[in-house]
Amino acid sequence: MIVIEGLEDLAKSLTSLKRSMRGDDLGKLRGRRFSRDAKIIVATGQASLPPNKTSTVKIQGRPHAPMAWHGRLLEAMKVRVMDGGVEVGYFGDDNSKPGPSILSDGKVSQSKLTFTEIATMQSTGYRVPLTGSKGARVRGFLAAYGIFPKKSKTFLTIRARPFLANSAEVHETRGNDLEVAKAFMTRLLETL
Amino acid sequence: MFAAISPTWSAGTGASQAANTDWSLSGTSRRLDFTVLNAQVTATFSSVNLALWEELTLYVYVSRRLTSLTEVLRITVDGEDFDLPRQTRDTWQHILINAADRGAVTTIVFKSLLDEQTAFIDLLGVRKYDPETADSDIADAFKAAIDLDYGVTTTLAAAASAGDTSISLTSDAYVFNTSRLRITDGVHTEDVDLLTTAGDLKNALAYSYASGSTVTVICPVETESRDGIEPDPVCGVNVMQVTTEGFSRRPIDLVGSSKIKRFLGEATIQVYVDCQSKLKTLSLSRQYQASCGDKFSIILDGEVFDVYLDYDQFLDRTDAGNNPRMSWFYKVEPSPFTMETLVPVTDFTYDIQPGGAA
Repeated sequence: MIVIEGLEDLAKSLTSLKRSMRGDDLGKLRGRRFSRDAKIIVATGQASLPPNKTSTVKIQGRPHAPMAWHGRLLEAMKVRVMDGGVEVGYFGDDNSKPGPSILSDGKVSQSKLTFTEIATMQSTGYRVPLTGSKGARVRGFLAAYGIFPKKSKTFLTIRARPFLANSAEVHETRGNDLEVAKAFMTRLLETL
Repeated sequence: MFAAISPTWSAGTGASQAANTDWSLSGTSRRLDFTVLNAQVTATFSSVNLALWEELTLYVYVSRRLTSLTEVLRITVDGEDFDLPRQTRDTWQHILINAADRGAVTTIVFKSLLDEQTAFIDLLGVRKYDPETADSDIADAFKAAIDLDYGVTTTLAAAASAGDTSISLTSDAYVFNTSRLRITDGVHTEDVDLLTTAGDLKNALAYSYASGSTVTVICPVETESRDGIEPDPVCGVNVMQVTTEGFSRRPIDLVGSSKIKRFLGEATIQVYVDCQSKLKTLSLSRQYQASCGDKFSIILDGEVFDVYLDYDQFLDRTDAGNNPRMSWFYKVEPSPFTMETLVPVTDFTYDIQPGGAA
């Protein structure tokens, strides 16, 4: 009779390994690592995003990076466990908004937009009409900061800055995501 | 960069040719019918100096043959014959012929090597890598592949004369301040840009139109410039980003030779539908998803490419007053540049001398 010892322990270890790999721990680690790296990738210009127009600098009163680069927007990125796995980004049911900011004329501006709306607008770019009654209000707001678009200009155009997609691509290309997975597997195997 | 060749076609004894719109890649091809062996069709055109280009390019479709195992069609360019073998699949064959070492040509001859067959020719032209147009060529290829119907038609409420700078519309439903309109009375057709929904025009009318002439709101496809895009609605094409990593080299097969070409990194292309009406934005988006969406073909520098969706995103109207917008993002590599041309070696000459000879 041939007796092989330790098979029961091996079966238990493999079951534990399978459970850990199916769980959310790896996903959460990958999500947190990406949300941390995205801030660095965007802030150091690696996400190749277009800079602000001069009119934005005039309104804000100082030169600064586009909102997509701001710590506030990037800090608002969330990591969530969903049915299909772990997701990172901005979620439709999240109504959190940026806090108040002070503009060049000393006025306090409180955004009516949520972080999710701001992130989507930054990613796709958008147009705001400068014609009709709505356009007159927009022109009035800009005039208060000494910005006078040409009469023939019909839209205020904000270019797309897909900061999330661009930083995800840089993150993956650099091997950062793979590094997290390898470290996780190494720690897991050490516990067997 | 691609320059189409638009020849005059002539058929010899036992051959005929005609324009064909039933079977093509670009919308119209040239059908060649051969009824005898060695029958010919000649394409004649204004002189093209092949030395200024990298390849002569064209697409050929010849049905599969069960019985013929030999070459089926001979293409003669600059005095040199290129024989195409029988196809094993029913599909368009992309033919590339090295242009760089040749001179000026004014004809291309197509000769049948079978006693009876039909061939279709499409996208005939010359191409080369041009850094000035490499990325704008991609935007142009996308624009040519997209066609959306806004679905809003009205009529002129009053006659309009050539030179008028305003018109009167019967209905302004889903017409916006900067909408582009197509006016037609069956005789003349022109596109005009509105300045206001009251009917003020950006430019004067070129023609006169009677009351009741048809006015269609169109959704133009435009490349985004630094100043933005004016029409509303619009389908915008935006070359967003060019990567500088991951260049790849690939062999490209030509007839009679091959080349090693280097691709220079992907361009991210954003296609979006933007309109003040959310209902219309969604309607145009569904049309785009049906006709293009996650996978469709573009003709880039004379070559057919499949493009695949990377991701998409919908932006609703917000308190910022923005238009609703649906965006699709693609990654496409522009045409590569040639690193080296490889030609087959057919003859070796050995000069053998006895040992010790100088």
